[in-house]
Amino acid sequence: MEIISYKFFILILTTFIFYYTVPKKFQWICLLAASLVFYFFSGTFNFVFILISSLSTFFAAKKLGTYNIFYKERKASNELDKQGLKELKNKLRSKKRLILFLTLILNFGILACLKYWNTIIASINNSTSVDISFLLLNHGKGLLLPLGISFYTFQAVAYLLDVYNEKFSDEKNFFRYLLFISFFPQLIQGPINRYDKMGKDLAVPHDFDFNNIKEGALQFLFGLMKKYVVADTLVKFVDEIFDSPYNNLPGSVIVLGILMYSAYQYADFSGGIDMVLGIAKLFGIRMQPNFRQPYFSISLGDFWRRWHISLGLWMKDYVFYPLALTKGMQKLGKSCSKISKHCGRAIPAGIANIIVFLIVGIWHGPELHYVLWGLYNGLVIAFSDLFKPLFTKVTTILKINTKSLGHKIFQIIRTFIIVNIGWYFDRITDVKKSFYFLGNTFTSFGGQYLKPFVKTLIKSIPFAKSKLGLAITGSCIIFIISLIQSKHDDIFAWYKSRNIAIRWGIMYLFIILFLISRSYSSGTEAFMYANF
Amino acid sequence: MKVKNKRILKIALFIAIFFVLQFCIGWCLVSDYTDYGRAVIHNMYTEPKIEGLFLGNSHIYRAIDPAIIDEKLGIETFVCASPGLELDGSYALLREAYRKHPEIKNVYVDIDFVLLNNSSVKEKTVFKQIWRVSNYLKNPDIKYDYLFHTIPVKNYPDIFLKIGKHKFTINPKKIKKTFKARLNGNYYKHIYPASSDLNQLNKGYIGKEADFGEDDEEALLNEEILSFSIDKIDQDWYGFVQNIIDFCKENNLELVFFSVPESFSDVLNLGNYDECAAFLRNYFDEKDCKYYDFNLCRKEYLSLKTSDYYDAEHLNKNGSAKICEAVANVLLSKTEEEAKSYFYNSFEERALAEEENVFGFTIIESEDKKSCEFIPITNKKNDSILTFDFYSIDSDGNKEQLADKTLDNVIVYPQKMQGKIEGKCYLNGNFVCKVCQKFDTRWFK
Repeated sequence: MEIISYKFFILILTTFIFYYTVPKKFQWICLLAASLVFYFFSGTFNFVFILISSLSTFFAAKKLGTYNIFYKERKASNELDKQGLKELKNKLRSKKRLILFLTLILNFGILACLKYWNTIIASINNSTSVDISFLLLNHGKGLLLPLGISFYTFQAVAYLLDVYNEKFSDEKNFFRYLLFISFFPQLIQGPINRYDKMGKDLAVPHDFDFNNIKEGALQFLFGLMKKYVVADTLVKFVDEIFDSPYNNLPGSVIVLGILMYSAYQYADFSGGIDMVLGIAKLFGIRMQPNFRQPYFSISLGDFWRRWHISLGLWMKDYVFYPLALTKGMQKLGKSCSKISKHCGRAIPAGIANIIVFLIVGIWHGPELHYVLWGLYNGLVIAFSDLFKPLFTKVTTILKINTKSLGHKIFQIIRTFIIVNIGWYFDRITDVKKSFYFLGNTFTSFGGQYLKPFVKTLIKSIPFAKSKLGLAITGSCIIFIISLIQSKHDDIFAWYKSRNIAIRWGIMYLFIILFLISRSYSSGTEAFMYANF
Repeated sequence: MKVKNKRILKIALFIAIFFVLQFCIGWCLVSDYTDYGRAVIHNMYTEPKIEGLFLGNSHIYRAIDPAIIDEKLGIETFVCASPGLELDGSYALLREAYRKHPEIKNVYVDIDFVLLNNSSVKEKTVFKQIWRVSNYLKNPDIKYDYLFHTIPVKNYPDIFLKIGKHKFTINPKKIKKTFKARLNGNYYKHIYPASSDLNQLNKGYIGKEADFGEDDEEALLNEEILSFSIDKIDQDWYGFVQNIIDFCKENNLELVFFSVPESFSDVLNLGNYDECAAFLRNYFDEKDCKYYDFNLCRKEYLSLKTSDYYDAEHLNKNGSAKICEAVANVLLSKTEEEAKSYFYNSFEERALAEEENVFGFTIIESEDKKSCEFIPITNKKNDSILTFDFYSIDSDGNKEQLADKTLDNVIVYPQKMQGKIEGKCYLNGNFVCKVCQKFDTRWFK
């Protein structure tokens, strides 16, 4: 079901009406019904996967919760001595670990199977003489992943791990839990929400608050503008540059393509998230924000705290910290601290970061270029953390005022360049080509070829000038709003403080630009991260 | 309660201002000053008398010259067409014209075979050709009936928005021109710039000059690949045709369907035109309607050359004069048998009657953009031989021969240059035609 469609509009409208008219204790049922309807439209068979994930993690968490309570009760009863408690804890821990392990294998196994099975079998087939093509799913044709499988799998696993770690108690009502997993706005492309925030928010009653409607509508319209005015108008240009058979483009053209990709990716992903967050707000539900002006970051680490925030937090809480706190890492840290205290911290953290980003890369896809992209990000973060004292020393020697605006702008531009270098590996699917293009960027810039290439590009894309005009207009608007957001913690408070002409003017601007862009986009460009 | 009312009022005001705003913006962006559809519908309204009405798209308004037809048929005709218009649009124009001119007695509808497989309403994604007509229909019942039957349901909101999909183009030059014309009143008086060919508009016809240059011929010879399949004719097409037939029956109008001829190479290139021709012939026979396919017109009555066209689908003034002569002769036939005698039984028959020749090329560039294949569109006999000379011409005009009298019609582009490949074709050693294909290999290692 597309977001811009009558079906979706009717679904939202109907749910909205019921949500605010039924007794508040039934509000969550309205949202559950809407979510199930939405999911059924994506394919009845896909529903099986979300059900497996929900049931397995729910009952596993229920069991873990039982063990947690059991241990607490035994501890409180003072029936056992210290030794007895320790033995009980160890026994329960083994059981809990087994349940956790099996549930994780099941959930990640399904995800990995659907995402990577065919690629792995095809690779083995191509590189060995053994013919195992019979093992290919769907006869080797591409598999369309169930809607939101990555996002709800991560979400379900996060819930399970939090219960395992006794962060909160397990949810007793399966259907409330199912709502948390299947809440329809997040299925399209995230964000990855946490049970202790959104799960609880879904359960509490919500009064009709017109401010929520205004904020939700505004955020939705902003996302709509980003997606259709910027992302959908730029996508053809990016494809023409990087998907053409040209393997020796001048650096100037490649840089243009990468900058367009940079804008396109941000507009598409964050636009989709804004639409999703806006829809949730209509029902008074606050979801995890996923972007915070990422292109204003002052370092790559900062960038990843501002881009796809929910995935970053998930990786931090469930991969980075558990990894960094393993005995092996702690041992490594101890040995490295012989070099310096900083090394003792930075080296294990660096290794953990590299592993995290490798996982993020692989999550994007089993192709080598994604792995390289992940590795690049991990290595840059690891080494920049490792050499931080050196950089601090250099700035001190050079008497650079690190608090000055000039220095901040320098950091932002530097980070932007570093991020965009990463996009070479993200967007260009042929690894050899990506390295070659990167090389051309620095060694064969060919500025004189940019104008003729752009002329050819404009001729090959229908309404290219109009599309570029729209994309530039939309990008400028995004930039201005991002500047305002960076100066105000609550952009909506800023918005509400403006006079009515400005408030309405902003909404009209988004709507009109969206309507104009429809004449220049096919309107069938799916979200980048849909079906992840 | 007061707060609720205030809120409802605010929402209503927001929506009202939105509609006014989008209307104003749309008014600024719509640059239809020199649109053919607008001009021809205005002319249809101001025409004193119309007895015969020709309907179709750009094929027809480039082909049928009422100045010639009227003299031959002895009636006042008018060409009511619009670029890209399909039969549903022709139906709307028919009703609009008949309401203004109840003296219409004869209706002639062009059937464009290219549109046979593109008529599905729900699959429509481009609406420009619809607005070109609907924006100027004066009768709301006809207008909205047309729109609600031709626009997919999901795009209904576009009907009511001035900035609906494809209702405008962001072309600063055109917008400026239209704005100026509105200010000085020329827009409303339908006074066009001197350079506009609308100044030559005569009862819906605009002839294109036959100043056929070398580049025009080369462009004409470079054909797109068309296809036709009976299975892919959408139900909507049948519906549109039936509407026209029913309307004419109800109002006692003599109805004739016909097809303005496309270029010979276009039709030959289709490969299965006879399937299409037979389908149309049988379909209209079943409907008891007259149908004349001028793609099958005999050479002795209609001999169209490449130089009679200005592109693959549209006749120039030379070609228009020829087709008008042929159409008039067929329409003036006393019997159906006499009318049918003007036509071959099949396109194959016509192709065999033509002298052996190469009528054009389909040029297919390889996926890696490093070579291309020149596929000749020809009616040559099996034992005739086609050979090619290929040259590369760079952006400075320097010419270099790449192949001489080769049988191979695939040519690899020279490396690291931008230019065009010139392909000269010889049939049994005699030069027949040449065509060019641009290439750019600067961006390869």
